[in-house]
Order: sequence, then structure tokens, then C-alpha cells
Amino acid sequence: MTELAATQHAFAAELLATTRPAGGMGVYHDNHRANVRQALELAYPALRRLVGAQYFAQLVAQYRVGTPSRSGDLHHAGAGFAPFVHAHFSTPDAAARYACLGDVAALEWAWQEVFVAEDAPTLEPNALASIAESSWPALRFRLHPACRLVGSRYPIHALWIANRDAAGDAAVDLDAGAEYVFLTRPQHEILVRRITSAAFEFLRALQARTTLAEATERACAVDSTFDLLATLVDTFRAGAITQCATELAPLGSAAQNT
Amino acid sequence: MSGSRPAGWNCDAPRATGIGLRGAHHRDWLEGRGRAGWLEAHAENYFAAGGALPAILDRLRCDRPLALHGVGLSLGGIDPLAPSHLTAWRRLVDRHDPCVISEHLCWGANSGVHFNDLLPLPYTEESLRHVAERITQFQDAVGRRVLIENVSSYVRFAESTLTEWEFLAELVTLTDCGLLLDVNNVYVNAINHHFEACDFLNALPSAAIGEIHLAGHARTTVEGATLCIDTHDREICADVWALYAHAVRRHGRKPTLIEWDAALPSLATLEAEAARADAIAYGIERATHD
Repeated sequence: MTELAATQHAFAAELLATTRPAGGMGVYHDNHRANVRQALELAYPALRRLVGAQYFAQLVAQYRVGTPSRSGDLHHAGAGFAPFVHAHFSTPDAAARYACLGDVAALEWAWQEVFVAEDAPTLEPNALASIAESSWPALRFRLHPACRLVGSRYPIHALWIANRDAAGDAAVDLDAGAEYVFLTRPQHEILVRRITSAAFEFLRALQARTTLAEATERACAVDSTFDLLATLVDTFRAGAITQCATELAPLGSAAQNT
Repeated sequence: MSGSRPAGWNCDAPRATGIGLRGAHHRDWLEGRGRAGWLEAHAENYFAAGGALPAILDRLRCDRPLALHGVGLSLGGIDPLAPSHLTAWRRLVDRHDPCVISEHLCWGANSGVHFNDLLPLPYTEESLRHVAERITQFQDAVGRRVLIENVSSYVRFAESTLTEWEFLAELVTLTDCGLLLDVNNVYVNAINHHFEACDFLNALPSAAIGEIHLAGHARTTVEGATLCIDTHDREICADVWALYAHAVRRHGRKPTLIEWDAALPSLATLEAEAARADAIAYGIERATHD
């Protein structure tokens, strides 16, 4: 090993050590911890408010040891935190209702992904008008790269709305039932919409590139009163669809769709 | 050498002092409330593939020149430069056409773990060859000359055989890079490592200095010794203003930037610091010409 490599390996080991080193090294030890904590505080404000600053810091400390940052872009440091929080509150000794915290974290990370996702052209509902109705059942859809779906047995949308900034104080009934959230970003404004369980199944199927017929069948299996036309028009209007065709063109040619 | 370089290889920031662009001030800048000669954005904060962030730079870039300042490349690190990081940099440079790009003389990652910090290097011949090679690789990847910034440090390495200023000057010779002189970091290191700040400043090649950074730092005591910490959370202190004046007298007026990263004040406070930097540089220029 070269001298420079040996120096950096030894330095890195001191930063990762659980004991705070003495002297100037202690400043770097503190910085490393504060940098990760601040990045996660920014990405997960509702979770932080729900568990409190102190418990949040403990979660971050445990997460950092098991999942150190792998990128010079701190944004990526938050990616594994939602699954970590989910696993943390899914252990047998965690109270069952804490499981909602993992789902709130998943919603917050989805928001972060939506925020930085690629731009893409979107289609208006009248795009369907140019397609013969006889071929609708075989249509497949390409959703906007920013589209995300997050579902939970708990009212995560209400929890998120009430806690994403310090001003919110609406009491949320954890027994209010399951909530399904659809996020996208047609332009720069992020859209976060609570949807029905059937619409959630439907969009999940479309995202997996099933045919419209198959997606409709899955949605109806959840709720036989599923309103296909209304959901489809809503999805177009949300700016969530970049392509629809019986055979989707490969990515890259999608840009010609504007 | 510059004859064989791509167009725009070596650009300059404006003479009027600039202000570091931070998310908390996006709205002020977008709505035309801020005054500054130019803005400098942390490159990594705008690596997003799409959405509001790159669009904000597109918009602000119409009002005044924009510099891009990297904080996460780990130029001095042992791990290979991350191709995805270089690609993101290139995309940002192509999209926003910055007036200046810069990175730090430091490392930040080891064995794939990123500390997201500016960690110090030992100043040895081995480090010099290593960093020079990677600066060249970075400059070629983004198609621009890069300014390399001196960082604050809280430890020194026994194996160092060169001073920090000798190391920086050698990098200029080896890579044709420029220097981003952070006057606050010089001051912090002079206190922490017991050298004369002016010795550092006087040894730098004037022509290579493409930008100056000014910021505030904290002063604390660690195990009985004074330790300055580069916090960027307060006003620039009188000693650093005096050192800035020394730098301008020694090297001439250079594009200067006010940096503030924590406990962000209103833009008015940053504008006042920028105006003070302009006044100092202008006064020295006047005196030199008379």
C-alpha cells in the first residue's frame, strides 16, 4: 500500500470509530456525523417531527454505521434510510402501530425522488382520441419518470400533511385506515394526491407496463365499482403519462412525443 | 498550451463581488431581490436530472454570471474518480455554461465510503503527483480549467515535506489549473498550524489566482490550544478582512465571493459584506494607480 493510501485508510478508520478522537480529529468526527444527520433531517422532516429530534438522531446514528454514504452527492445518502426505518419498526418487539413510521419515511423519500427525477413530455387526455377504440384494451402506458406510488395500512397522507412542517398540528387517527398516495411532477410543481385502493392497483399495473385491459381487471378485483374512464382522464390531466401505444417505443424516442 | 484547449476552457468571473447561492435564498434571487456581481452554486446541489433545481439555475443564469463550485469529487482521494460524478459535472457545465468552475484540494471518500467533508492531505511528492493526475482527468472530463481551493484543516501530517502553499503552486505548474484562494481558510490554518498567513499568500503565483473566497469562522479551545473552525455561519472577522486587503495588494483585484452556509442571514447581510469587499479592492486599486 502506498503511503497516501495508508494515511487515508487510517484517517477514515478514525472517522468511523465509535469513540470520538482527541484534538483536531474530533472536529472531523463531529462534522461527518452532522453532515449525514442534516441531510436526512432535510429529506425526512415529517418522520423527524413524529419521532422527535433526539430519537431521530439515534436512528440516523444506527443507519450511518450500517449504511454509510456512497456518493459525493449527499442526496443519495437518504435513499436507504426509509427501508432502514421500515425494518427498524418491523421487529417483533416494536409496537405494531409504529409500522406507520416506515411508510411515512417511504412517502418522504418518494417525494425526494420526484423532486430530482428527469423531465419528460406529457400527454393530454385527447391523445386517446386518435387511437381506435378497438385497440384500447391492448394499450400500454409509459408513466412520467417522476411518478411514484406509496401505499400503507395507515393514514400516511394525513400523517405526512400534518407533520411535514413544524406548523401542522392536526391530530391524526392512526386507526383511520389505509391510504394510497400518488406523486408526480408534470413540470416543476410536485403533485401529491391521495387516491383509492383501486386506482393505486390500476396505476401500479400501468407502471409495470401491463395492457389497459389487464390493469382494469386488477383494479376491478380490488373494487368492482372502479371508474376506469375517470381515473384515466385524471392520470392524463395530472401530467403523469408520457406515452401510450399498443407497442411502446424505446426510451429516448419518447422525447419526440411532445 | 491554451491554444489547444476547447472554447471556454479558461473563463473569468466578474470583478464585482459575488455571493454564494443557497437554497434558502432561491426565492429572493428568482424574484429579483438580490444584488451581486455573480452567483456561485455548489455543483452537487444541482446534480438533479430534472425538475426545479436545474431550472432555477437556467433562470438565474439569465440575470448574472454563474460559477459552479464542487464539494464532493474527492480529488485527493485514493478511490478512482466516480464516472457518474464526472458525468453529472459535465452535464451541469454544458447546460449552464458557468463563468468559473472550482473544486477543493482535499479528499472525501475512502473505500467507497463518503464522509461528505473536505478532508486534508499530507503534502508529499506522492500526493502531488496523485492530485495533479486527477486534476488533469477532471479538467479533461468537463472541458474547462478548474480552480483549486485551499481548505481549512484541523490536523497536520508528520509525513508532509512541502508547505501547503508550495503544494498549491506546484499543482499550478503541473496541471495548468488555477487557484481559488480562500483567505479565511489561510487564516484558519495559520492559527491552527502556527504559520504566518502572509507567507502563504505571498508565495502564490498571482496570475493563477482566479477567485477569492471570504467567509466567517468560529474560534474555540481544544485541549488548551486555540482551534479555528471553518463554520461559514457568521460575519467575516476583522483579521480576515485585513488579510483580504493584503491579498489584493499582493496579487491585484480578483473576483471575490462571500460564502455563508449555516445560520444563513438575509441577503442584505451578504450584500453588505460583498459591498465591503468591493470597497476594499477598489480602494487598493485607486491607491495603486495614483
